[in-house]
Amino acid sequence: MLESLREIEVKPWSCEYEIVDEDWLFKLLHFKPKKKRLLKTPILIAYAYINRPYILDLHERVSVVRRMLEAGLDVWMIDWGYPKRADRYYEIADYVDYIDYCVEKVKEERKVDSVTLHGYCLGATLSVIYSSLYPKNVRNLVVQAPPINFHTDNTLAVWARNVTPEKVSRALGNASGDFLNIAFLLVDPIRLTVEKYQALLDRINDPKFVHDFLYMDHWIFDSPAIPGKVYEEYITRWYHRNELIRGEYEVRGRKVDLKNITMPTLLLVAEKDHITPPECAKPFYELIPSKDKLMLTVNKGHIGLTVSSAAHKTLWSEAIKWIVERSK
Amino acid sequence: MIERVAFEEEIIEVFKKLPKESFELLLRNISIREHLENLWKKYEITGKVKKDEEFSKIFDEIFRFFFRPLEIFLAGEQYFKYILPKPDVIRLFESQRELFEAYEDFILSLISHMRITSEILMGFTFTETAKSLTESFVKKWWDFARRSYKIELDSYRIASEYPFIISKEASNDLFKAAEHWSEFRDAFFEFKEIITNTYDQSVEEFIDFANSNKIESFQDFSAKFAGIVAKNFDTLIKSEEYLKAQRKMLDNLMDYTYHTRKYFESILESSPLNPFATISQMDEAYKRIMDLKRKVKELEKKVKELEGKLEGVENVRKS
Repeated sequence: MLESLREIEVKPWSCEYEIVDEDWLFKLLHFKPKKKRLLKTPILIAYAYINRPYILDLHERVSVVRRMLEAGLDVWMIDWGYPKRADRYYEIADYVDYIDYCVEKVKEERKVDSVTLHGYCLGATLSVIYSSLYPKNVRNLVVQAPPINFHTDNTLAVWARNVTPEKVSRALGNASGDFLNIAFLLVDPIRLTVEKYQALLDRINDPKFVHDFLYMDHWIFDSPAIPGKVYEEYITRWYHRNELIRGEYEVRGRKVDLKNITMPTLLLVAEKDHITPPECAKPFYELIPSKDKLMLTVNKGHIGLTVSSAAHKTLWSEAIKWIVERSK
Repeated sequence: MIERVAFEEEIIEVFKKLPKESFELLLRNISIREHLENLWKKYEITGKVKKDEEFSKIFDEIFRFFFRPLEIFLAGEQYFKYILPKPDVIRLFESQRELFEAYEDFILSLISHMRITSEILMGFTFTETAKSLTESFVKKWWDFARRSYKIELDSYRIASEYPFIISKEASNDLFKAAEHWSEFRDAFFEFKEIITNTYDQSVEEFIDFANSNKIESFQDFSAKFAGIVAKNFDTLIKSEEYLKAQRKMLDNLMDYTYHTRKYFESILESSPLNPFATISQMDEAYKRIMDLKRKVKELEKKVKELEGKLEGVENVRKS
């Protein structure tokens, strides 16, 4: 019965890349181009610091990175790594600083004045913060399932408002991967631990289904810890106080003002997202003064937005076209 | 039998391939499916489903995954049993002490007896020089043995004087850990009860539905059951009652963990014999390193800016 599970070798990262920079925990990756002539503006992807960035290059069929490379984009990506106990004092400002470091590095390497910054989930939150602080460095901003307004009614947000993060970081050092895994499953226990696996048993002889299931599960449970200080700040200042959308958030004494988001902005939203529902992003879209902005939606969940074939057929074709047009 | 062995071999290979969480959930779902099939078989014949032990088994398979990590912490009570010498253990030590004291008296009498015997024997067999050297060695050896033995015996008193041995800070952490552990235990049982009640309510709802409607296939039977349970849990996990219990459980679990660690750390830090750095000491070092790293980064940035400015000035001068 389980033979089909045995046969699949899960090997994420379908595109070739090199590590351009390493800063203890963080890394800057550069993907090997697939076209000889690259578009002028490079794209820098900042994924969330929860789970791993290879969701954007999970396997060939659903790789967003591959589609970007095939469109002639020069693709760079930040990997936030696997924080250990020694990293518990990292702060969100350190993540923003590293985005700045990477942007400067890419600008220098490619002799350009600005880049396209593409953030996904909490990486989108970081990208929005960065774009507001350094608008001149960002030619285009792409934000995918961005949590900007944290006062929403989805279970995760309700729970986050009922957590005392200092107690967690004081006891565990970091919010560990196991701790986060249990929390994410308990948010929807029956669908995520019963219905999902019953569906696998129903379709155990369907190789494509089993292949995709295993790749996804491998990614889901490949959970780095969140550094303790980052966890405290993200839960308290974003989920409890909603500082970002209120214009109260500061990074190293500099206020993050969403009114600075004047660059072309593409917002990608999943209608069935239970982690960052559309209400997390829509107020941001309405608030920013950018005159060249577009919102694309797909009737999928938080991850389906990246890995579903439906999203690839519709949303990604349009999204990449939008980026390409603004990268010449 | 052959099939079973083949399945077990196959499952080990699957275990090597999957994340441990996926593997456990997969195994649990194979069991859940078996229990659901048992219920379906009865339903197919009678058109009715009854609340029987199959439902309890399904509950156990679903929620073991979530309860187990918490139960591991509950087992933390064992720590206290080892850490704190319980009154009966102290009594045992004290009665042992009496026994050892009696034994010591016996040994000392034996030593005297042996000394006298050896003196008598030496008087017959050894020369004067040998006699005095041997005599002095034996005496010193027995004195040393007795002194060491006495120290060993005294160590039994330490257990009964425990509160005076550990630091005040360690005592306080120990009390706080015990307090939070007890609060955590209560909250855990409350949390478990809320979840059990919601599941039971879902089972009742499913039975009502199945008995008043005709379900045509096993797939529909299974999907309807999971659907009803999922819907009820959607409501539960956002309810005030649940949020309160979960928060109480998590907060106390974290406080228990922290104070237990601090207790151990206080003991280690106050002992000059301890060769290890504690987590808190390491954390302090990590914090300082991180602060230094930020300062270095800031300086690097400033140097780069200055280099840029200097280059600009140089270019102007050249032109």
